[in-house]
Amino acid sequence: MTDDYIHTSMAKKIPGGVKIAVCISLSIIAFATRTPCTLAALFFCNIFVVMMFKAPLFIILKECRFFLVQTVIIIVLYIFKFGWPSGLFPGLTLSIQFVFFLLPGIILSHSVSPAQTARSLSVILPHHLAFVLSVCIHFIHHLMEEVNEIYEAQIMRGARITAKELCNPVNWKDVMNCLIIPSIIYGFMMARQISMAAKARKFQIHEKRTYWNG
Amino acid sequence: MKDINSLSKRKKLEYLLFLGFCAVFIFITKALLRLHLNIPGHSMFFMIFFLMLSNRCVPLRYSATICAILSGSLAIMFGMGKGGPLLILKFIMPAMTIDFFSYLIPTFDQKYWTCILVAALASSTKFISSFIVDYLLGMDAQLIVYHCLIKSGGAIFFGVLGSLMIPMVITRLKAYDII
Repeated sequence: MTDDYIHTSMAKKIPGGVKIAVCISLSIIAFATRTPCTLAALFFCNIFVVMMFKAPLFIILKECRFFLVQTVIIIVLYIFKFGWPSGLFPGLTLSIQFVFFLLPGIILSHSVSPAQTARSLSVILPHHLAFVLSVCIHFIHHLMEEVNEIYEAQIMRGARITAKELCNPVNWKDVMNCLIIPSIIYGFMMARQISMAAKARKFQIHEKRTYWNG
Repeated sequence: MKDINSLSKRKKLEYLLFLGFCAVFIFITKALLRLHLNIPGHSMFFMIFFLMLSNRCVPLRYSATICAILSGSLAIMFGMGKGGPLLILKFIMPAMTIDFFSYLIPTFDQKYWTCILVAALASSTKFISSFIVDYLLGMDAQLIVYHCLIKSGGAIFFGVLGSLMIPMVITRLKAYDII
């Protein structure tokens, strides 16, 4: 057994709840870190967590580009208020703090599988909402396929909703009439079908949570 | 608005599933726009639209809030959005505003100006969530206001645009006997 294999299996063994708790704690700690020393310590903590959870560092760094706009706005605002050299350092410190507040969320999303998160959320959410959530996750792909079919059928009918035609604002109304409304109606129909199927399988026959054990 | 207990279990599940699909639509549009646009506040366009739609289509109290809880949970699960532990607040606060105003103005979907008012107030809750984060991070008070105004300005603009579709969509759905 290689070290890498042991490390990966160890990362998988950490429960989803623990990972969520660690990442939320790291985010909250970011509020209290105001000095460069504590920020550096928090940076190493985040790196340690990335290594422990076996999160893909390259993808996380790639996603950090979304923070660039925030960083620029914060630094510009600080320079605007405190002047050129004196506003730069506090602005930079605060934007790093801001990144450290949001970074654990990204680490979490890449280290915990949706199924693990769903299990953790079902502890917090009422069981019927957890059921609805799991059904919705299950049907995302199906829903998207149906929306795509509606889109293609409407284009064949002559609706002006292709990417090129949507450059003209006159055609935006077609998106609502030919795509959004049929998709909503389909959503309603699908909800009705699933609820009838669930009822036929005696879902919610008791007040307590029921499950199929066959 | 009916009480959730007065509905049959099947009907209740049907409504909850529809709210779940609205949450899925919010999540998908957020994901698609994030990939292609990256304009501040643009995700409010579809978020406000679907939250208002869920409020109008589902005769349950707190229907928009339930939809927001589901979409917030989906966002947490798939790592969407930039909100850290406060991510779910970004979804719940506009939804609670919509639920509250639907209680005060029960027919807000019938006029454009009421839709604009409710959407503007719902979208402006982004100011509060941004304010909380900036305040806790220790930003200068005056800069917090500027920063939050920049962030919430875009959200209000796109939220109001999204709400403008509501009267038309509701009329069409009523015509199809969906609502």
